[in-house]
Amino acid sequence: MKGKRAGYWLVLPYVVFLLVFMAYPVLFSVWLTFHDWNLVSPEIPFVGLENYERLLNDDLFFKSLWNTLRFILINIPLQIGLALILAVALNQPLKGRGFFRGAYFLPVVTSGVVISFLWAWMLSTDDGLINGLLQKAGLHPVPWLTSEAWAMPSLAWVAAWKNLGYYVVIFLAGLQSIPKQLYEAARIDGATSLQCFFRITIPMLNPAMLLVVILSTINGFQLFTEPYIMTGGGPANSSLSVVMYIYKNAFQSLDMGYAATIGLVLALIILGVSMIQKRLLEKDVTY
Amino acid sequence: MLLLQVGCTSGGKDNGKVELTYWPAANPVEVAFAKEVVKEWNAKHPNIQVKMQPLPASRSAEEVLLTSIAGGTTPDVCSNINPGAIGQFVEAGGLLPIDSIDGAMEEILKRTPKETVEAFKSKDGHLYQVPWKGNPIMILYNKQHFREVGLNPDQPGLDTYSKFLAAARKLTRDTNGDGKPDIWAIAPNVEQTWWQRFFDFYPWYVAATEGKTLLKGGKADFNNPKGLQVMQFFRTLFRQKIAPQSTFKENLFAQGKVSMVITGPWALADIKKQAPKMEVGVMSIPVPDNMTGKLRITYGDPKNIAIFRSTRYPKEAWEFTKFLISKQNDVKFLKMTQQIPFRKDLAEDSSVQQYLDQNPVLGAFVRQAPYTRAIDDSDKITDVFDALSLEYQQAAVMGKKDPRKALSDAEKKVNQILQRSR
Repeated sequence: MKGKRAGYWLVLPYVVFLLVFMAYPVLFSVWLTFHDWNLVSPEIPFVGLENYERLLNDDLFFKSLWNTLRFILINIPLQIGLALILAVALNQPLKGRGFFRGAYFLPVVTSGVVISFLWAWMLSTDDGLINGLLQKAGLHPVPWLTSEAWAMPSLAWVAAWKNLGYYVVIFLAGLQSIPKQLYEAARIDGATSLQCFFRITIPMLNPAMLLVVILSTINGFQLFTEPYIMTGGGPANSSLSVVMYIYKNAFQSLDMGYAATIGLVLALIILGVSMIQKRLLEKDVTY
Repeated sequence: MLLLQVGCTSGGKDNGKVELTYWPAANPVEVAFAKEVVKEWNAKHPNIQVKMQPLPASRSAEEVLLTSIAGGTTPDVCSNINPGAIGQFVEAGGLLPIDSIDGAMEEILKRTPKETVEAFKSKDGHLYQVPWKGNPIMILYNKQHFREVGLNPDQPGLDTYSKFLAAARKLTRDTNGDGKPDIWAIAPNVEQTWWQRFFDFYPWYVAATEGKTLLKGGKADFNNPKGLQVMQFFRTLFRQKIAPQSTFKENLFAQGKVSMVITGPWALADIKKQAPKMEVGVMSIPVPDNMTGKLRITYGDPKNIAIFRSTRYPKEAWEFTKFLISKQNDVKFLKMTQQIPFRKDLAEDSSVQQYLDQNPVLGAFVRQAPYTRAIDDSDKITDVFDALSLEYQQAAVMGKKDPRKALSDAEKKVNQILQRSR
């Protein structure tokens, strides 16, 4: 009995933490979706389903959702493709392997704000490093951040560059858990390197792949820093992400109820998408 | 009712000693100024001690103040109040009406022109902010660049749109022959962020209309011929490639990569630091061609002083505020921060005159200061600017939308937003 009580005492700090910083804010924001609040007013009138109605008729919300999806559709394949190639390369007995592993991981631990500023300069149309190189090669400068067509793909590239190292680490761990005997056996049967890669490496990496796809989808839906710093959501809202739209509603328009509504809908979308992905990818998982 | 509340909360002093908290803006020069003022005040008033605490700089001042009103942790006095946010503070019940304090209005009207004070009154007729400083937005230019292209650096005379554009075409130059400009005439920020319009559309609009703001009678008021001229001016600027459609994160003017910059007097100190040898000139915001010779008005980027409702000592808080806006401190403020107090007789002071003679560019800002407008007092003003900003970007910066359509779309959107606000 005494031991049991000690156990409760031990978990108490975490339970308190969970209630105060997780459960309460979540419940509060669900409650907020039915109210109109400007963050400071002592009165918080009940508005029923008004916020949800507004959401359904809000073109800008759907635009920001579409922008975010566009980001994810470019960002994830780019990120996974590059991370896989790098992970396989870094898994070879290269010279200076430790250095490269560190170098690719560096952007992950660097502040997103710093990286956004850096890339905003590199991608600047008239003054940027990349357009400078393009022009030296006789090509036209590209309005990376100031055209509706290019802004989101540019952000998707910057985000992929920043997070690459993280996914490389996951893939490296996955690669190292593949038993060597499988490759040896395949070699004896006369398999080529390419066949080994597609028949052994890729299927055996399935659990890692599942993790990476789900993590980067969730990450993608939470896109904020890059558009906030690099484009301000522009030009013409073409890089406005859902989270940035939440931020704008909450802290610029002080429309907490509506911001909470978008937040809740976004959370439900992420939950739904993650569950579908899990179903689809789990089918082939080999543990 | 209000007075009653104030009367109830003020009163008891702890051991006969009053302690006030004062939040200035967190930029280094203003903090240095606040330190000196508070030190002098505390030495003179042993019974009313002021504790100074700079507003946290990491977030926007408005956000910090709103959170502190919500949390009940407001200071007694704050001197970084953006009139554009005052509607929200008032709605939240956070501010003390200054006109309820005995003698305050007389004191304020002695210092500041009546029209300026009137402009800061809230919808309910009360004054919740002591007009403090207004930093007129003007155009700084690089005299050397002007000389190089044959413009008179002392009297450039770019006061109308066509003169300005003609000069700007000359100033945009390809110096190394690679076919792209290395020096731009001007580089207004192309970002969609709402307050960036304080530096392009808005001051131009205020100048063109001789002082109209965006809203009138709770409705959008900018869809008119003048608004159209302003939109077309910026469209021409970007379309003729006089201004780059780029986002820059550095001070291009100080680096000599652009010849003109739209800014306030606060920029002078930084330019002096980054480019000590640059000869800087200053001019007013240009106006449409048919307006030559008329009075120029510009956006004033004002910051005011407020006393919070939470104070237990409104009388003492006002006494300190009065000291803060005394002539002696206004002069000190101008010299220390290169920002401009709302004081009528400032330029008449002999030490100020001498100082401005040595700093003629700052002098021009001081002379412009009475001719400024703030932004409309509306709790939806950020959304209003946001809507306008989007259309400005599409019509002027990207040139993809007809300016007429852009203005009427912005008008429609703004009226929708204003209707939604309760």
